[in-house]
Amino acid sequence: MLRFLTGAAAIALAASALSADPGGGKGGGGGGNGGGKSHEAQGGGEKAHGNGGGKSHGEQSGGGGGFDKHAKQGGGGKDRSSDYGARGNDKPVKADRDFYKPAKAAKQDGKDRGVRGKDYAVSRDIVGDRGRGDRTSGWRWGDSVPQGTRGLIRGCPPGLAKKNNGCLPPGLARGARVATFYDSPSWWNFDDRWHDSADWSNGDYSYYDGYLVRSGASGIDSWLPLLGGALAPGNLWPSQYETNSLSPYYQDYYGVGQPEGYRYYDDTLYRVDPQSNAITAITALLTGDRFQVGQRMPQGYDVYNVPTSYRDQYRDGPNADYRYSDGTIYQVDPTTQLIQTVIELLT
Amino acid sequence: MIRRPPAIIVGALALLPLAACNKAADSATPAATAAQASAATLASAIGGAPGLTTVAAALKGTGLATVFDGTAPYTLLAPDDDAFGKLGGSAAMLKAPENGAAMAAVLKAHVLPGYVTVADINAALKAAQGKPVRMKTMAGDEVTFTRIGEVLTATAADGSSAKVSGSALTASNGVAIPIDTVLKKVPKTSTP
Repeated sequence: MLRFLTGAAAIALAASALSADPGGGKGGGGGGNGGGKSHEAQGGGEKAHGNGGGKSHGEQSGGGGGFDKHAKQGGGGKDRSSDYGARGNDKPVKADRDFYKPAKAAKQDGKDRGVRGKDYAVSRDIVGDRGRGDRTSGWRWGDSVPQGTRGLIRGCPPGLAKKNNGCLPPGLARGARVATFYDSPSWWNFDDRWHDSADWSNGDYSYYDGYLVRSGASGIDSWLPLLGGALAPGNLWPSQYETNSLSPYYQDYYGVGQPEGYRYYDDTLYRVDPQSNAITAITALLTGDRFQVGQRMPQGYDVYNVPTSYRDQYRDGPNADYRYSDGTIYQVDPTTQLIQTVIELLT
Repeated sequence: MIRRPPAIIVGALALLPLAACNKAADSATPAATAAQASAATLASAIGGAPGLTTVAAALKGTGLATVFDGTAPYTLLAPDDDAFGKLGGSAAMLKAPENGAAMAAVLKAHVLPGYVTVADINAALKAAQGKPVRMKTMAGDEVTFTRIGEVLTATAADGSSAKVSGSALTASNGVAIPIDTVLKKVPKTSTP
């Protein structure tokens, strides 16, 4: 049996979501997410790619059933999780180190996690900065994230911070290396589209040991951990990033369990060991796109992409098209391209 | 896999009676039979595919293989081994252990949300009456598909262009479509 949220209720909820998202558009997806099984309170509707700041698929901590378990083992940055439940989406395996070794800077021990308590004790809620004010929702950034450069963390990357060398690794000294294609924020798609307040066009950026770093006169002054680099299985999650939970729906859909067992950053969902804070698996890539009933389906969804197990039920026809994104199928009017129905796919 | 009933939100803005919506969803006659997908996961299918050994190793090396080993559906425009060969020294650079992040960024640009077959792309192109069709990538950009004769081409936002180079792999949770060029600009370099 299908469950519907209809008519005026849908409109009212959509309206409340809109009113909760005065920023709208880019970076505005976070605030009004109602969580649970319905998408009626999704804020914004457009992509919000801020580094954890803009988009949140929910704000409720806890909740959601069917949680997975991590083996309770402390210390170190090694993969030590087990039993992730029946979904098996992301068996916590380390990256194949025969092919890639872990980035040096990511070889941290538990001591690094204490940094936050001293230098980054005060968090500010990016969502709140935009007028939403709900400090229980979305991601929080460390106090070290300077205004105007959202997306970068001020200071020295964790591995280098312990070396007390002024955060100037020899390999990054001016003239010590030839800049290459990936020494640019734009190559990593870090630009104003996704990290809306960062001044990515200015600064001396380079790739270093799993991070995108920005150097000043005396060495690295800001850094950003990268998927597959510092953010790879086996490495510790950078303590500077805090998180609240996804909505129970997404917790269920992606099978990540309770909030302490995952991190969601830059449209990527990671599983972490709650005790050690070590990344145990990369669970999912998300578009970050959330759409509402009545909204026009944006460009980029021209091709039918419904999961195979739902194709018999939701197939394009003269009266409706169906498009998938982030655990949801959208029924779209083929003529107007307006979204008629939002269908969640808990399996 | 246990399927729970999907929750549906229907908007009055759509001006469709509930029954009509339900009917639209339930009674749509498949225009074509979906290709029989393998029971294997996409990660497994890619791992055993000749000609995709580099991308398979890259998925494992970056830790992204687990993304394609689960329930959420993805389509990978999978650069074949020759595609990486075209990169010259940059391929070795990307494969270097310390550059796992760069390889992950390259791979992410090739991932589409959902389950997209070549037939689906062809159908979209046909419906668009020859105009290009676009799909979102997990890197946040779009890839544009065009067809000239029998050649299906994918073009990335940065202008990189690739042709479909082999038969797609259909798995339980996604599709891998081999392509002959990497869809992200990776300038050739001689010093990995």
